[in-house]
Amino acid sequence: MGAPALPPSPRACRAAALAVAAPAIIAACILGWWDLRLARPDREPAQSIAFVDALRENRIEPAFERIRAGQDVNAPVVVRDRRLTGGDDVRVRPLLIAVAYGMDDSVKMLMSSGATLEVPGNRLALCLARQLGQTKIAAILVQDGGPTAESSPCPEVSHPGAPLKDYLE
Amino acid sequence: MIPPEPVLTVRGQDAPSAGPHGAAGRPTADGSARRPAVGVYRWAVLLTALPLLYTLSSGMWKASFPISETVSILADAGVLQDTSASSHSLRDPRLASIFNPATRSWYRPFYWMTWYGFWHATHSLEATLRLFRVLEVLTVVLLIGGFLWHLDVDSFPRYAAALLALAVLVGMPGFRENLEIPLPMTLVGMALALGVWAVLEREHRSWHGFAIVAMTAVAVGFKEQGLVLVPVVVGAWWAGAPGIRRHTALATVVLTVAYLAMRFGTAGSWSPFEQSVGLGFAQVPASDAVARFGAFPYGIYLYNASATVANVLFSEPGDGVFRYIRAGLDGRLRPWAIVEVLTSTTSSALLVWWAVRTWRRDRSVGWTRESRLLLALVLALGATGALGFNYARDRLGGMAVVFYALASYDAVAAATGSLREGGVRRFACVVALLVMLSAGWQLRAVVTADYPRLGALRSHREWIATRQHQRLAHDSGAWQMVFAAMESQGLALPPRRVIPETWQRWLGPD
Repeated sequence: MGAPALPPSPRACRAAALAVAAPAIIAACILGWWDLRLARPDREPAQSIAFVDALRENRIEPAFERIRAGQDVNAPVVVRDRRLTGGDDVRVRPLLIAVAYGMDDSVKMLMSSGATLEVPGNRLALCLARQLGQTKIAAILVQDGGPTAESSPCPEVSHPGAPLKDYLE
Repeated sequence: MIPPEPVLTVRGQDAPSAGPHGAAGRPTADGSARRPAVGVYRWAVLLTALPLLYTLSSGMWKASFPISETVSILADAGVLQDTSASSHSLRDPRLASIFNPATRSWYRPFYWMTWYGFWHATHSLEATLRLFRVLEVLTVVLLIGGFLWHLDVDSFPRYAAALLALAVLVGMPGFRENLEIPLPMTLVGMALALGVWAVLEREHRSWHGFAIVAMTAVAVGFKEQGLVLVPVVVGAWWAGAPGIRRHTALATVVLTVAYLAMRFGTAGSWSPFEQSVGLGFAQVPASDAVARFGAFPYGIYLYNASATVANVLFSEPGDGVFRYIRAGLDGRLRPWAIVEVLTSTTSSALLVWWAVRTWRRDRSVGWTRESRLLLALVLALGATGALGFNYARDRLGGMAVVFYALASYDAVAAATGSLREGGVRRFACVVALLVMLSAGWQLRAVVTADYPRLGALRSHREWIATRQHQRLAHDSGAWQMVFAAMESQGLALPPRRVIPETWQRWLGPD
């Protein structure tokens, strides 16, 4: 055993208290800084992500902002995908894109925002969901789409490597 | 049982405690003479807490009300059945339904009464929702502001301890999970628990008895978890708290017995399990729980109660499920889980050290403010567990969180006060431990500050994704009307998250 340890000085104790308080003071400064950053009107514009990309990534918030900004929810848009269109540009309805990528939230958002199965291309959405094995999405279409969902005959599968091509109008 | 007399009371505080609220001029736990600087440090701690308070409040203020939850609450409050808000009388059957304990298994008449009152006072759904937001934000402001004000911070070490205690209060799952909109029932109870405790520990005034009983009754009326206050009040009286007299404790007990008699007398044939039950590594749906444990539910009730208490002490299990242990076994443990469990466990260990120290010091002098707080913490934890018997949820620990945070303040103050008692090595170890604890809890507090915004994003996503489904699922005209009236606030842009995107995957629960 060595010599008895000397107690720390009052100054050391105050420094210790400062060390304990420091994380709180730092956290307060960081929160204050982040709050100021949020006060700036630099919200990411919805247009910074393409409507199609937002749908196929299930990023429904920017997709919805695009719809609120005037994007027609039933108007065909161009999509290109090696697996779904064979790498070619194809014009299909947004609902079919959401179905093809298996993005259920995108499907629900489009249905909530006015996408209707009365529109010619959208009538085949259920066929596409079943062809691609999207059972959850098929259930959503039946539930939210009403009787029209089941009413249209499905097209012949003529592009097995590019299923969306079978749904061109 | 006769309560022991307080040893010495000065301005409502017991002298031997030498605790953070020690009387003027007496030595405090950190060994320094108390300086008349309460004002300066009190305002300093409030100022430091301001960004946290602002972030929390602004997030709650801007968040939209969720679809299904809000509309069903409006139905329970009788708003949906009276969309014209025309018939307003004390004989209104909707009002009677709110107070009828046989109507539903959850009995929160003051909570529904608040909706009912706002609706009939304003005749406008928009104004009702706005007033409810005011109530939610005000509750958080009162809880946090009142907590800091109550601590009577009078020195720099106590300033540090108060900031850590605030982070404990805010960073606990029992606080965080109660920020869900529009369900502030436990938050209201927590603010009232703090109010009751503040009154109990102050020099007695003639209005104390009414205030204690009224605050307890309102807390119970907002949510059953308010019953946690009953053993706390009785325990405080028994332990000689200066702010309460025998008749107040008696009135609290009589009202509680009447309340329990009414609840059990109208229980009818409630299911033994109201919601899914967390057990081990998974949730058991309520129907399965009835089939598995319905014949003898007491074992699983004990598990639920223990899980609720353990969540307060260790942040695990969550909702009765050992999610972090499971994540560790699956090799997907996130740093956040380690922060939560380590900070909670270390804090609880610190509280045990403080409890032993307080008990050893005070056993020869009788009850002091600190030993009463220790008793209140134990009683609140026990009552919280008992009331969480049916299913364990993080939010159910809220009432005990207030006492846990108050005790944390005393424990940290005692730890910083004990720094001079040992050598340099002990000093270094204690300081390192406290700094790590402080850093961990501040991280948790920052995540909580962001939590209402995370909830707002989820709510907004629900609004934009499920409107069609909701419209088709409800054919009631009143439902459609309320839904349509709420739609614009649901579709409005939600507040952005405070935590930058790059940090989000590291911070916060899954």
